[in-house]
Amino acid sequence: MTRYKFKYFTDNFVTTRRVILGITGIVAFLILWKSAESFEWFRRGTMPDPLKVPGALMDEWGSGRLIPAIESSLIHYLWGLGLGTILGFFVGAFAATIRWFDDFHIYLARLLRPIPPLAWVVFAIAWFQVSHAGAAFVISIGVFWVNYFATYSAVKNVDPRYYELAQAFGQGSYLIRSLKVTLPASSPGILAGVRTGVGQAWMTLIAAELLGVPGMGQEMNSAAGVGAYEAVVVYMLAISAVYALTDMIFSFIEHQILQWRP
Amino acid sequence: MATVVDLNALGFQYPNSESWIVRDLSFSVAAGEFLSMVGGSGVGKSTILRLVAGLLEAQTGSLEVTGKSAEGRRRRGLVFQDGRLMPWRDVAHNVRLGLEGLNLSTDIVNQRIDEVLNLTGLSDFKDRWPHQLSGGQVQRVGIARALAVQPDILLMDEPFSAVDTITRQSLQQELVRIWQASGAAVLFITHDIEEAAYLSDRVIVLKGQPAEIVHERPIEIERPRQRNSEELFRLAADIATYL
Repeated sequence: MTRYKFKYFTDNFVTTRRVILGITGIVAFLILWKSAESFEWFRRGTMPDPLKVPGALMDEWGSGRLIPAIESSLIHYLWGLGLGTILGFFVGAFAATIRWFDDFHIYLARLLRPIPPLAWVVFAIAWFQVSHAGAAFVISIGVFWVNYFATYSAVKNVDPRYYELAQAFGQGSYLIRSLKVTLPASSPGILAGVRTGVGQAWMTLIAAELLGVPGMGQEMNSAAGVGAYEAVVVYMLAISAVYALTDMIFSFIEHQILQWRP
Repeated sequence: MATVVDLNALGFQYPNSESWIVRDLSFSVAAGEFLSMVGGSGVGKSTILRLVAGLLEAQTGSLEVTGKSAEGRRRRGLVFQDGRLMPWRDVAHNVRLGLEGLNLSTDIVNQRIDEVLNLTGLSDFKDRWPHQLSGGQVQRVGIARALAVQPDILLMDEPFSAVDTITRQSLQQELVRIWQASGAAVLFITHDIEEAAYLSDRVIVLKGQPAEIVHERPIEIERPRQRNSEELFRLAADIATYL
């Protein structure tokens, strides 16, 4: 009983300490930020005032720019993330399980992999103009490689003893083995790749939008152009909030799928 | 007596290997018989079991697995040394593995799962994940999975070698009970001669490379057997002289 009480006390202490120190960290950051603005640590007019950010948020909301920008970004994001994830998964899975396909694609993969997704912006504009499709295309490239490598490595590392088990119980064909062994056994690695892709997609998205595709990145660029740096911070915080939300949703789904893990 | 497994002059070598694991190996397992195969490490016991299981293919000789009609059943049920449960399936779904693809109705599948879980004393663990089970329970799920396909022969590859002595002895007792209740033959691989003598109707001793049967001994001690009986000790000691 005493031990449980002690554990309850220590758990509570750890949580409370985390909350207090976490809030203190944010306050310290705001003080540092405000000081940088007040004491002009950077070129005058380029450091936003943290106290003006809530006002800027209301302005952006009221002007009707914030929500459409988020919606537009989400369209690029979801298309790019979806396409990159699906293609990366299938190419990685086929390469890891079909020998001739592995040999067929390996040099091509080594050639294309080092090219940063943003290097494709030139072609994205040439092929799709400044459009949703162009942004989704650039995002999907980054997401593709993350998922391709995660899937390839997860599938390659499936313990071959499970294949022997499946064969011993009459589940030996490629399709059945893939569904009953390969997919579940490699799911932790595959989902880790998908989660990395969820973050990677945001980074590429904003960079792609800074080049002119409508969305939060473009709004940030426009705001910076007229010196409205508080508005830039509003969009940065919006990105952070949307990312946190998508990561939370994904984390929940991942937890549901992988509930078999210790 | 009807046989369920017949090996005739079987020869096997691994790809890219010069040496034969077995050559001209012949033996059979009678329906309902408990046959143990003992031998030192690396002699090829597990390879022989995998040949019988159909996981490996012999280069020479013949291997026949016969028995009752295979409709809705599989002739062989394999129990692995490491239990080998799929960690992403709960106990009931691990047991279900061999039943998938047999065109059985859901009711029959569920009934079979309940039967074997009951037989192996795992009814209360149906929904558990493998990581929530003890080593002994993992092995029992492995046995239940093999029994669910209603095999003519249960192929067991040193199934109790990774568990502690007390668990091993209790699993051995349970295995005898399960074997008698199921009516299936058992081909049991072990390096523990006392275990083989305690469990089996017949013991064959393998030695050499390629592996040969150097001794074959029917165990005619009445069941239930006393684990610490002098007769069993003497028999085990005698079998050990052939290793």
